[in-house]
Amino acid sequence: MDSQLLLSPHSSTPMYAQIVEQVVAKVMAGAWRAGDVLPSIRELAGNSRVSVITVKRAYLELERAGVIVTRQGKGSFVADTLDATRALAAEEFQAQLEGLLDAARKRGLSRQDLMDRIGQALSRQEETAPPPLDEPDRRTPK
Amino acid sequence: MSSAIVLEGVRKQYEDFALHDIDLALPAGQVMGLVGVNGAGKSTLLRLLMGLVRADGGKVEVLGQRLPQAQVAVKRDIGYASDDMRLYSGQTLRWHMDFIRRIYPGWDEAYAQDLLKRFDLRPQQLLGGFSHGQRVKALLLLIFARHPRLLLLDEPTTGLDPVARGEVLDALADVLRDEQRSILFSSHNTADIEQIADSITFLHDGRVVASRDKESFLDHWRRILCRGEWTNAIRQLPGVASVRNSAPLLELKTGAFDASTLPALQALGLAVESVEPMSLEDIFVTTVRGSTHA
Amino acid sequence: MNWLASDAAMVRRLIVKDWQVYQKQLAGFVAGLLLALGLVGMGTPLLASAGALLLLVLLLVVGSYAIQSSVMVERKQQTQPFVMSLPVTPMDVFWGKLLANLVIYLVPFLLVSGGLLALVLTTPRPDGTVPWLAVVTLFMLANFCLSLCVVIAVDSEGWNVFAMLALMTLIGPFLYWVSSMQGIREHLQGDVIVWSPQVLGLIGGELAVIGIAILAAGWVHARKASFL
Repeated sequence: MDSQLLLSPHSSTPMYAQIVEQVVAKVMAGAWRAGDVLPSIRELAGNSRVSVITVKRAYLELERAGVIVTRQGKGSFVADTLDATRALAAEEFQAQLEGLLDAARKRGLSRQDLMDRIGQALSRQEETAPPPLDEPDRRTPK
Repeated sequence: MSSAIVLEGVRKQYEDFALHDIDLALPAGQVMGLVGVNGAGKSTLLRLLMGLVRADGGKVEVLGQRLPQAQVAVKRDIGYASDDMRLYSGQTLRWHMDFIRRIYPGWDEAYAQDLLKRFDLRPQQLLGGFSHGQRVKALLLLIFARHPRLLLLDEPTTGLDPVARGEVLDALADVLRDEQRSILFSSHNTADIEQIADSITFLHDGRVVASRDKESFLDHWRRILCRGEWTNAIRQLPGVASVRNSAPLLELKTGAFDASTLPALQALGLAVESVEPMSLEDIFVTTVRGSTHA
Repeated sequence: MNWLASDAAMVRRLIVKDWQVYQKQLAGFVAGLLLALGLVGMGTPLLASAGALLLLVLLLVVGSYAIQSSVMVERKQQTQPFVMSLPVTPMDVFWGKLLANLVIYLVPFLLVSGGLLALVLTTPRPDGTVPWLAVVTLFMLANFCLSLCVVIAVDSEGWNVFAMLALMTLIGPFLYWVSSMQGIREHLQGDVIVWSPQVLGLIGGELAVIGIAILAAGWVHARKASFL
């Protein structure tokens, strides 16, 4: 199991949050599957040059969110249920929604303004269709 | 043995400086960062733990044993490095390594060779010809290679170039993999402490100002930007360490951020624009500036 | 406070360490002393006395240099924290410093005293000077020990230098006093070795000074609350 996370002390995101995000990303991408054992807290801390308490906090958050399960004396494992990932996605959506409302408030938008802007953005998205998948990549040498 | 270090009521008096009522505890397997301005007492504290200096009063217990009585047994298991420590300039690094190797049974020659490469040091070079950074790395190598149970490091990365600093942090990260080994280090590079310390102890003027686990310590500090009118009541809010006013914005830095902080600000007629966590460096400077203006 | 060293092996390692650190300088001094001895041996009586005096002076320099480099310079060069961070008690370091310096000093000291003794006994020079030689060389040893003990016990560089210089200035007057003393003076030109009571008294006094100096320095060192 590749226990090397891509953490950065220079990011504006707190370190424990980075760990949570990246573990979640690995689980959602299928790189870490249900039942896989996570690196021990100390192992991850040592590999990533991060304090033990930060990793502990991240693991606690992950457990609270249902992404991982910790068994006393055996370590931590990726949770069995698919619901965990769905619950996470739902949480992420909620967080983004709060962020949007926050930004709207800062700009002094009224409820109607906000609804209008959302409607406009949705329409724009439907107009610009994604590029077809079989378009040849001209940069690839043959 | 569950505690690497226990200090209770420790006092030390010098002519123009004193340590007062120091209470400190470092559980085994943890990393503690010591923060404070020059002259706050960090170096004195580390020297006390090493037996280089005898306390005037209080209890000093290291690795479960009392100092200064058990200093020999304790020093067998501790690695100490400080800025004012020098090696013999007329001797080579290899001479020092052999000297240490014969004294400590825990010497790991293979790991020492690994560190020589990582730290980019030449064993046959005389210590007198080492630059500051190389000297610091040589001192650290002599300590790391014997796997001591407790490391007491006074400014281990100060004065090192960023690459060397990274190598030292890597070596410290190696230590924290082992739950039996503990580290206490002081540093002006607060980023180091922020990164690998489990707990932070803040020293100022010979006293412990704060000693808490890092995550909850950082969690309680926020920089808040608000819109509104300045009132004196803002300063009275609990934990407020600094307030800056530049109409229409107000910047507040508080060390007691919790669920009641934002409502309290709103109650004072302020509209909250943004709430940000603060870096340890910012917290450090804010706290020190705040105490001098107290 | 425990008087004795806690770990003989550590004390031995500290002595070896000081010996290794000081080796190169010692070799230089020994070469100089051998040269001076040679001069004493082959020259005229005037040259011989001048040479002997030179030897004593060199011995003085060697001694003070040894003390300075191993104790005072170690303090200034800040290798003391390194030594104190080893598994040693302050008394281990004390005995280590004391014995290391004595050993380092004994090399030139025995060279000079043995050399002079041999010169006196094997050449036609009057053997009566042997007790005088014993008193004088033992005085040099006591002088060295006293300097060493003051430097180990007292951390101030200023006082260390003062003490060493003050002790050095005693040598001239002491030589004069001993050479004109009743019980020594009359036997100097003779060929008979006489251990007069004055000679024995002086030797006893010198040994006592060495013993007291070591004990006093040890006592002071044991009570220190800071080793920086």
